[in-house]
Amino acid sequence: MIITIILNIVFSFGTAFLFALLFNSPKYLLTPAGIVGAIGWGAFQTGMMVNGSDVQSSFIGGLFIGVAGHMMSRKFFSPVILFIIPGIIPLVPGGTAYEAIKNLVLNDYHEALITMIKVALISSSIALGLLIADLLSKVYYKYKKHRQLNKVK
Amino acid sequence: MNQQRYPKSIVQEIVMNAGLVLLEAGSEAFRVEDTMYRMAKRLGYPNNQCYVSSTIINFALDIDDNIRVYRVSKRDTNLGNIHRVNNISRMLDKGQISAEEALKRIRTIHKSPLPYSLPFKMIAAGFISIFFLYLFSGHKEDIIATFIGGAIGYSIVEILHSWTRVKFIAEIIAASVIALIAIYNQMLFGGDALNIAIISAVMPIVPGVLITNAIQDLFLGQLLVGISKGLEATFTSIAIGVGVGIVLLIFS
Repeated sequence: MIITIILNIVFSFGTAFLFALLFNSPKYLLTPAGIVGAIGWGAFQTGMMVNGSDVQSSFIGGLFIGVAGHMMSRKFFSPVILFIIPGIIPLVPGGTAYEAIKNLVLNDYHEALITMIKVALISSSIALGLLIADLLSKVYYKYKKHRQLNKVK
Repeated sequence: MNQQRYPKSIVQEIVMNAGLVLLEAGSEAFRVEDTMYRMAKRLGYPNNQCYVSSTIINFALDIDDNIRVYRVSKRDTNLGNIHRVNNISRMLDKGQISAEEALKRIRTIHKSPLPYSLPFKMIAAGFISIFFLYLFSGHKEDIIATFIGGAIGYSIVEILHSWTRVKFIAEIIAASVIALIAIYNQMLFGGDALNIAIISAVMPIVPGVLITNAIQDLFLGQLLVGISKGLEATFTSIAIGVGVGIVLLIFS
């Protein structure tokens, strides 16, 4: 059990790290991107264990990736997209999208329709999670600034 | 604030080039418009207007100024360039560099080579495929096939895309090569998880990020960019699905 968890963390870290490399990210930002990816995959797997639904777990994963990405972005002075794009790679339904079209080619329309709806739902729930994380971070940093200004007065 | 008005030609050149680099590097349209607006405002033109879609940039420095248009013909994901343009924009905002210096730096970004070589990226794509094989709970027999398939598929897409500028054909060929490798591996070593092996090997070239980005753009109100990115993602997945599907139809 513990070995499975460790291997999952290591491999999701590796995918996000290497995808940041494929997308020409600067060298010192590869490791933070990998950490964001590992956090997202961990949140997704925990969600799958608790409720067993792809769509809800993707939302949770997207939310965690967004929050972690914003923290990294503040720390390394870099746009948040540099951490979010490699981080969501293990979650995004690219493989599922391909599978839907493959089922169409293989004359399995029923399965293809189900998979397409799944792609739409999963990707929109990830995007919704990222959006909510964005709003949360904006509110938090505004609140922090506001409190600092009040202290000075 | 010591707001100094720079000459129009330099400011236009800086802002248009920054927007072009950002858009070619695959940034969100919202971020491109925001960066262009802020840079022009900092350089002394607060009434600027810009409109960005995924194939074109329109920019007017002032209300009575001429509109300048750039066409954007190539799009891929290059996070390093986004990072560099963001750095220049931030330094300009704090007043650490002058406008001429910023223009020189942006021009060097456009010419600079990619930081990692293609063989290195090929090996990275192969390892990505192996990692996905574990994450999707695949079988041990498929490790070698997914490594070779992922590496070869990624390099075929990159090389053919740079040669012919037609991404659709490159992806069909890459997907069918990947499916052939997986089927041959199954003939040699046995195993019954052909589907998982093909999905893992195809993973470096599928448009997952594009789909999510498109929906994110739609949420933020960039309707045209969202729709066009979604269409691009659909075409990519159609290409990959057709490539794998044809090979599966022939050989099974």
